[in-house]
Amino acid sequence: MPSYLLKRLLTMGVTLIGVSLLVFMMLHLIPGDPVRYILGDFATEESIADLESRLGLDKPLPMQYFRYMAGVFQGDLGTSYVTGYTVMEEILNRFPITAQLAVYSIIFGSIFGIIIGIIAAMNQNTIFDQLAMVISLIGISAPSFWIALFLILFFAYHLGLFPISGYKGFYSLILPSITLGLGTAGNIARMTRSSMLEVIKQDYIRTAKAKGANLYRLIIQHSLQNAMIPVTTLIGLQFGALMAGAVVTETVFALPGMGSLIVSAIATRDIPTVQGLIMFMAFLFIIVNLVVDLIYTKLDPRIRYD
Amino acid sequence: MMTKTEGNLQPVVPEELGSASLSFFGMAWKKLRKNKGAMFGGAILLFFILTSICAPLLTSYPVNEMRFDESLKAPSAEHWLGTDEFGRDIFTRILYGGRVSLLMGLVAVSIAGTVGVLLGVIAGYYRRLDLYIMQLMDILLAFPSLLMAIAIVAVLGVGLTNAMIAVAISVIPSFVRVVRGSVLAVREKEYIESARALGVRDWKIIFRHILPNIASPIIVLATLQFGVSILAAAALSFLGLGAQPPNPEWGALVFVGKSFLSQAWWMTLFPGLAIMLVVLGFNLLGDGLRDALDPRMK
Amino acid sequence: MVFMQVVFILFILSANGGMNMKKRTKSWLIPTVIASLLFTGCAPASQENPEPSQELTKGEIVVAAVTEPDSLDIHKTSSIGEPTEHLYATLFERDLNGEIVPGLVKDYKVADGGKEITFELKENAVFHSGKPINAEAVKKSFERFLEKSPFKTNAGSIEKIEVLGETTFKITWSEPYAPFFSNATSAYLAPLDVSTLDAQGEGFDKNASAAGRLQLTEVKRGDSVVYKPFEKADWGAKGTPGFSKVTFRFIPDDETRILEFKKGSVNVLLDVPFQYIEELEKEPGVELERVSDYVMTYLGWNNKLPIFQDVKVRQAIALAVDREPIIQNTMRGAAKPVFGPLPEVVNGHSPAIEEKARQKYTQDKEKAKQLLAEAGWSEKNGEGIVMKDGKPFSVEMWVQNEPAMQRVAQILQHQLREIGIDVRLTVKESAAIIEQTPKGSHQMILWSYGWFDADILYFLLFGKGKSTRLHYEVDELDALLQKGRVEMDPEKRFKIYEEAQEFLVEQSPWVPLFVRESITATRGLKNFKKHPISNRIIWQDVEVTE
Repeated sequence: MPSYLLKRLLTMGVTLIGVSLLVFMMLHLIPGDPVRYILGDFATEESIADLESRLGLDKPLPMQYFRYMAGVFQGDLGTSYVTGYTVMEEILNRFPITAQLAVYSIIFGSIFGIIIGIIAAMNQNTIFDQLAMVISLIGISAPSFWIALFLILFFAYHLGLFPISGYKGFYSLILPSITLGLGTAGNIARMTRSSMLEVIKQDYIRTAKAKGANLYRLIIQHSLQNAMIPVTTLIGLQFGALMAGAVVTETVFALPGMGSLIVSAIATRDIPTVQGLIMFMAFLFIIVNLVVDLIYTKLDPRIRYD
Repeated sequence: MMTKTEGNLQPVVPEELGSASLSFFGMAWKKLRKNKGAMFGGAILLFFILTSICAPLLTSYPVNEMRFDESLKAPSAEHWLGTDEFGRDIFTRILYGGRVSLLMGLVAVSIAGTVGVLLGVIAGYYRRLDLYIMQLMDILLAFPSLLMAIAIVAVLGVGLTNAMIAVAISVIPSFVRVVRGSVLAVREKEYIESARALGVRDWKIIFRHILPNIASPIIVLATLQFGVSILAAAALSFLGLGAQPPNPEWGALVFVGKSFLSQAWWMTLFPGLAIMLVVLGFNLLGDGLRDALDPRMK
Repeated sequence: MVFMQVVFILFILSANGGMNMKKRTKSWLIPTVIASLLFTGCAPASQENPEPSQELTKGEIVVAAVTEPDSLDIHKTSSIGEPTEHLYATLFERDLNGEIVPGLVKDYKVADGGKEITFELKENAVFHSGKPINAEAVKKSFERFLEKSPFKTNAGSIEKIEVLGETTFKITWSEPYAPFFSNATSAYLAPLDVSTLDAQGEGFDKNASAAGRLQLTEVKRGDSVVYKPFEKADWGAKGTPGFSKVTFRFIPDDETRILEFKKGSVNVLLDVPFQYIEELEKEPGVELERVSDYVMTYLGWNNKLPIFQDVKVRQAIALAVDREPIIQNTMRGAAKPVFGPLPEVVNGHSPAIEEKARQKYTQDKEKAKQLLAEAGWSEKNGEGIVMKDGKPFSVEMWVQNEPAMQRVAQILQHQLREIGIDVRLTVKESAAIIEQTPKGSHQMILWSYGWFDADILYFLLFGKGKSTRLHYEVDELDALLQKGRVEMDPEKRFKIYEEAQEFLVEQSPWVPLFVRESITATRGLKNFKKHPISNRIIWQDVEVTE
């Protein structure tokens, strides 16, 4: 086990370095020069050169990269070109909101998804199965800004149950979490359904059923537990999707999270901010998936890492 | 490396089916026909494919011509789904837009599928390369996919082709993971081992024995990813990075319509419904295929 | 959380109904319920006040703005707007007619042909921190501006700043810089209190101190900026501000912003999207304040390309454009057509030139076609595109990723198609357009500019080496524009720019299109006005009534 963990941490480091290289190359390949963007209409050749040297953009690319990475290893993600805040400050400002959003939407998505999935599996091939699947699929198929606008219109504007937009504590995150969670719910529902179907079809369950054994226990022990493995994987994978998917949701609900920051940072070519945010998101994604893999062993003793 | 159960699809490998594959798929089709959801999904898809192919026969309005006196008209007998801000017929634009959206999905899935299957087979079969390929996939996966697509489009430039490539690249890792997992499960089977022991060439083993056996998860995944790709392409258009105006790609129609939500709800509702239905269709069909192709479900 | 439980139970019940049809299944109900309760139990209970109070406190004004400023520090930001500008008091101001009048500067004297100006500051003015705005403080601020600001060129080539007395200072330029007074009415050149910054001269957001009507109380990055009225500012006849707090909230999505306003949790809605004008006009208690913006949208092209060398081609393009459908269709009429190079609010605008340009370039498709034919574009291919030497007239137009601009672009595409010019649209991010146009990799662009002084014609549009978007650099024009920069006499300066504009109208290196109206919706406020020239809210008389 410890050697497995060590191995995982090692690959994690490699992955992060890969991500950093990829982001770095991309940001320098993207047409649109940060200096020209900042200077806008007032750029002159000398002011461009001046700002370039101040931001260190006049150095050769490999040197810029090593400088940046040297900073990262000392915990310094650099300073935003446009806002003057350090990237760390910006991330720490925004992270709690995106994290809460991700966690709440996963909780909502899991509950909703598992229940729909169970209902569908229990009623396989009936109209209720189809209905449950269609409902779960709507979550996956509908553009998220639609769902968001509908929720805002109905629950916030007409019923006045929630604030329309902005961050004002837990209450203001409910609608955005539902918006984001519906997609997750759809995926989890389908996965739960198919996992449960597999278990139900297993011979030992059939035998048990035929013998009139206590079905609750069997189902709880086998199907839910079995279903939890793919569901946990999915949660790990969805976590990444949620980070990025939050872009649209955060925009519609005017939430000051990481998604909306990264979009504006890409638009303004704020290289340190984009780089820092993506590295941070990748880091989170990897950690979450590591934890997910470790949870497997708890869920299913058959899975072991070596 | 980890031996994790793959996200969507657990590789389910029937014993010895290389020769009996026809009857296997025949049986699957029989089962699929009984699955109402899958049939419904298939019907939706068929409907949209046919209508977009036959678009010129179904409508007499031009796609891009502007008629200012007809702008923002509500649905009527004349304009079934209303008109947009330039007086263009929404029904017509959705029909023609279907060509673009469906083609985008097709191209993206084909690229991602080809590259993904190739890499997945290599990773699963030649274990020496496994570590490197999966490391690369981990990097791609750790990169939030929508942002990845945004970045790729930013590098390559805005446009339909580049949007397709961007979507394809962000979909590749899921193919690689599923294919690799399935190959790993298959390659340990006795008949493969005996084939190898008999000195059958690698490519022959891959094409004759492995690929047919992992076809089911690939078909299912491709069907599901079709929907994902169409949504992703729409999201890119939504961010202004996909189709260029006046191209009637569905995501672009939804995006433009959103700014007219309060006066012309039809502008965003109908193209949005089209996206939703098509994605729904692919998902229903994909789920049905999964059930039908699973040999354990008799 | 109750709401979610209700949803679950509804689902379970409906499923149960279905299960009853198959006898076996009632037994599934219990684990399902247990699971659902278990999971809802896991969800964190709401700790905060469950009452989603949307009421505004008394005297509070909440302004909904689209984009958050990158920085409130005027020496760092790359753009200014309502959320930043009121923090600053400027050296000069514009009155309601656009005349430049004293601001923090009471009086000034020009010497040495404009190379030296001595400024006399108002007495007893203070920063938000309470420290006096004296010559020393202004000098410090200017020095920081010249060191840090991306826009330092807007102060001219300053050689030195000398403090002559408590309230007197002198600036020396290496050459006269006529636009200084205009530019000094913008917040970019406004003084800020350098003494409150940290040792590195940073941290303005944390300890902001300038001299504007609004004093900063809180910055919530990504969400809002909160101000209170600055008591020591000039609050008109009453002498006291009519409000107690101003919050700028940043809500990027149009629909969300509108809903917040309609709901009443926002009482000033900036930049009302054009589609919503009619709807808000009907809303009771809502007032719309409409002023002309100073940003002009134009259709430009790379004048270095061979295809645009013939003045007849350029004029033909200008004659193909009809501004009316563009304004009606994409802006719902909330824009003013512009034909001449400078819109009305810019210092240097000439009504005579505007009229002349209007007469010359009112849409005339026949004449446009004729001009094209004279320029050699006489044949037509199968699709009706004009050709010369066997090549069709086909160009690419870059347009920003903004819905309204894309609509304008589509209409232009349509109109140019009518005279036989084929235009392909390419949407590009602004950052990419800004980088690539100076290199001349574009053909046509739909773009805009906004500045208060005619000097913009030089430093952005047509100066030698400065024509980054249009690449139109002609000696004759450049000489005129250079002259305008150093001419300190307003009358003579106006004549110079009139001549330059006349040249531009004749040569038609671009097509000026329109100036948008900036529309603000308010509710529950009295005397809410926007400045007709600078387009900014005039806080002086604003009063909260509800």
